[in-house]
Amino acid sequence: MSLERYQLEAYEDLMTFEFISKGPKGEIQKIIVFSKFEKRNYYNLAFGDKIEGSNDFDDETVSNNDDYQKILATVAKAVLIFTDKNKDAWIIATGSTKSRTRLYQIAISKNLLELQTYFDIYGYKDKKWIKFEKNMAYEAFLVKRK
Amino acid sequence: MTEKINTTENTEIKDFILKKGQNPYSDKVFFQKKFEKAEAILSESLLPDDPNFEENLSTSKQIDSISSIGLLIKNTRLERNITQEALAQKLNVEKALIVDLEKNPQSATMAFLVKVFQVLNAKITFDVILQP
Repeated sequence: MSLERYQLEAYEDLMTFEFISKGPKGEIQKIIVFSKFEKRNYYNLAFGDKIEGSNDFDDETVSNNDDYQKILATVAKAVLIFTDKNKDAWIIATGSTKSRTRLYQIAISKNLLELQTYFDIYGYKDKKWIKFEKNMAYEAFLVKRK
Repeated sequence: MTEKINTTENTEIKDFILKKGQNPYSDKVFFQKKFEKAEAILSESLLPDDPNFEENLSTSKQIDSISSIGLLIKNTRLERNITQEALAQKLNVEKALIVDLEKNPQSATMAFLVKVFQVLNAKITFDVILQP
């Protein structure tokens, strides 16, 4: 994928990735986590910031490090690495707020052609999964490696 | 200790740093609220790997046997976000009848089937195609 990204570090099970966001607010440690649902081969994708002075992470903080595109491209790469190992996995992502979900939707729309070379992409709207289309507001996203 | 690796033959996926040792977070629950939100969505929706998902994507549905009508009723009901109970109430029948109708529609009268689709605000059409 052609976008600029941060260097990813991953644990051997490829369920957890870490990277460091760099910007006007300094360095912020980020984590990307894949968590398996009981349901078939579905995984939840979530990412967030490390809470300073603890071993916990927070997915609701808006860190505003002027690098959200680079962050989302880094997350997309983690999905690519994860699905390279787990080709039958379905990955669901939801935003912690409406505005963040919209941010994901815009980022997917902007890079749709490139993303579609790797993934089948669905959006969740009115309690239904439909094939992702630009300019539609979705509540969640689901991808599977092609 | 870390090691730089390339896990794939796909050159599009660049190398990343692999951390040695067990994932210290493997037993830790992160982002629980988001997980539960996603779990609720998955449990309430027909998923793309469900056998009848593709057919549900289509607005025009064809049936090849009388038993398919049950699936057609179920899918239409789900598209309308109506529970079996709510549909039963609208039709003034027991929920068990709707459960049975979706599984075994063969014994339902044509008049009742038409009424079910009317209540679901769905138009039904019959195409008679003469075979050569």
